[in-house]
Amino acid sequence: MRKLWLLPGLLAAAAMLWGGYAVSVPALVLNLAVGWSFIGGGLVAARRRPESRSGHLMIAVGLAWFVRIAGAVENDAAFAVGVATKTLYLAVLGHLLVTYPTGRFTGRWQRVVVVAGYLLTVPVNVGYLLLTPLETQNIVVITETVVPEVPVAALVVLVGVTALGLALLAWLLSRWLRAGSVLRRDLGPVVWGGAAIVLTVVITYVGALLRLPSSVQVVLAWSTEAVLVVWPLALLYGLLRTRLDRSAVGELIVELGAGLPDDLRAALARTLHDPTLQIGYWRPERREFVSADGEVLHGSTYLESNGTRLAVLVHDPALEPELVRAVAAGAALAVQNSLRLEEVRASRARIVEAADAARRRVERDLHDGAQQRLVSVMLALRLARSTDEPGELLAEAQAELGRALDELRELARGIYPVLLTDAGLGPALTSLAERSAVPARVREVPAHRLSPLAEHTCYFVVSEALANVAKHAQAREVLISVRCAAGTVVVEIVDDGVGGANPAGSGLRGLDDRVAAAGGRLVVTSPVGAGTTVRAEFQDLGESFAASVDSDG
Amino acid sequence: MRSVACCEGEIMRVVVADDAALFREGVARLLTDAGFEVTGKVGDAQALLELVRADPPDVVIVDIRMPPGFTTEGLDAARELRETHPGVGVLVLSAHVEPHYALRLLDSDARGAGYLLKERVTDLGELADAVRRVAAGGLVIDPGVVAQLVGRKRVDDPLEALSEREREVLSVMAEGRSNQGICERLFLSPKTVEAYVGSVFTKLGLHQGPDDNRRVLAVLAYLRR
Repeated sequence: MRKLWLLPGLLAAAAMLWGGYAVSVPALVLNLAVGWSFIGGGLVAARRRPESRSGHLMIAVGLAWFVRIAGAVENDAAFAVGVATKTLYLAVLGHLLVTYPTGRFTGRWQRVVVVAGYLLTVPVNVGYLLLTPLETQNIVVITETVVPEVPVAALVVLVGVTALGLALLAWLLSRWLRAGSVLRRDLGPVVWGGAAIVLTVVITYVGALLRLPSSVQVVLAWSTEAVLVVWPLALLYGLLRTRLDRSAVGELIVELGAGLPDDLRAALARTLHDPTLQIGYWRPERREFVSADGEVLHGSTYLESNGTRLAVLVHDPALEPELVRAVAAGAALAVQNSLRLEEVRASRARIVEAADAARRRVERDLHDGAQQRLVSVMLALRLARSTDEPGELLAEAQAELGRALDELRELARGIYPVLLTDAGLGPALTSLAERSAVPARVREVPAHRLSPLAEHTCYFVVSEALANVAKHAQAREVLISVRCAAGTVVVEIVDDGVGGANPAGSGLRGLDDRVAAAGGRLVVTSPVGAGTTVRAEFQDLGESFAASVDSDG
Repeated sequence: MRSVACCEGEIMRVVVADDAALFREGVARLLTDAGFEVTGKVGDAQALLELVRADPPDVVIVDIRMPPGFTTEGLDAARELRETHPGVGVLVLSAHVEPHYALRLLDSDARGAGYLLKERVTDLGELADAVRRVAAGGLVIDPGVVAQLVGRKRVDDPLEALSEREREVLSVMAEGRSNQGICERLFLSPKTVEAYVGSVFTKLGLHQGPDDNRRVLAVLAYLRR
């Protein structure tokens, strides 16, 4: 289908080759090049930016360019068509320039300018055709001809076109001056190419008005056509550069893959060619997006992960939304990774700290408890050796040893719940419930054994949750349940206490870390006055082995 | 040396299984001193089973944790012996105050089984008493284990309806003692003990079993629920 777009050019070529006039090769090539470059550039633009009508207007310029070549056929009707449409392409070009980059009118005056442009081309040409006796001649090929007397009507048209062209130039210039760097980059080839075309057209018309020697006018006409060929190429370059921008996104992703750069803002600004770009990170405590300089930012492009807005980008609105989205998606990935890494680092540090604290506690318990008692026992035995009636001392030593044993047993149990490995989760949780300071009941436990990691995580969660309940909840009863379906383990500890638990408190924080270490998540629901539910959910990735189901539990 | 007679007037024969040689020898010596005949001392469950097969004793005393796995080999051996040699009493020694282990020994028609904390062996009277009760087909549950069951926090605790004395009776009952044993332990007359036991069962809504063992199981099941 797309090959059909070659047809107008081929028809024009045929008209020039076999129309009856001699057309030089450079003229042939130049005419075809101008038409085809507009149509080709327009096709690519229409596909790349379907939301913009500029592509269609570029195609229209190309078609208008080819239509006027009808004048290359040695035939009255063709000559009439050629003359009527001779300057139509200029009107379409003006239309394209005024409405770039959307291709749509955004104001009344734009409409006025464009309509005036169209009125100054075809109707004027048709009027010229009707009112002036003409001899058919090749109007496509630029030749030196005797400059005829310019009639007054034509003079008006020439002045009108010149005025319109100058207005267009002024408007392009002011637009350029007002544009931000991104829009400038976008507008660059359009504005300068367009300005060059308008300028050459204006100069050509002024030249005609001033009746410059025809040799000069020929040069001007040639230069207009040369610019006309180059301009769509400039537009194509612009499009190609968008491609380059896209590959810059790829480079950005590679860069972000190596870790979040120290200055993410600079990296994104570089990729998007928008030095004014700002990035604001979500501050949950302030419920605002805040830049590195502490400025509160409001933007429209968010760095999102699973529906959570991590950061916001404030950028030049002229940036291609698709490109910004791609960059934002890449950056979101990096920011999320870095946040995760930060979380993991913090959680790892807390886990290590908790382990250290636990070891310190064990050391203290051993030192102040069993060790102390053993020293007393040794002392008692030593005294018993040098006394005639050692009975009382020995009994004392025995009693002290008994207490040391009790303490050691409790300590050993706290360090590692042997029941968990020996008998599984059910008996171990039942034992925890039996020792709980707040009445606790185990309502549900899987009948089969889980992986050791899963069982330990469950046990830890229940044990810590029970300790928290005892400390804070003022609960009457705690219910414990563990369910396992399709590899997902859900541990739930529900109390009927005062609620209002702080998930950031050290107890729940430790739980969160522990569950996160098993790849899961902890949800604490604790409305004030309505009890607390601690729910841990994680995947049991370890081998799930069906061990002998304990009759107990 | 005085000897402890079994039901048929013979000296009670005991096997000791523990991987710690010092402990094994110590217990053997204590038992010998107390008038038992220690017919075997072994260091692991396999050797214990072979020994019992070759020459069944009246009672085996076995450590819960032994080679090769150091988990519950002693307990497993005890359960196996209850199947293969129902006439042999089994007393499991353990370092864990865990009702779970104790109750694994006691199925619905359990007899001649016991679970004691290891350190109880230092009280010769208690050890000898436990061995005798197990040999006679009775049940022995360590006071520490019972204390944990009785001390458990409950919502609307039914045990709160019991007087302190009744609770003591309940605990000693759960340790596996007969009324006679409770009398000796709490220095009460048989009639008083009977009255306490009766009121405990009434208050807790329990039925007294047809024998002492059933009674122990009922009490333990009640405490564990």
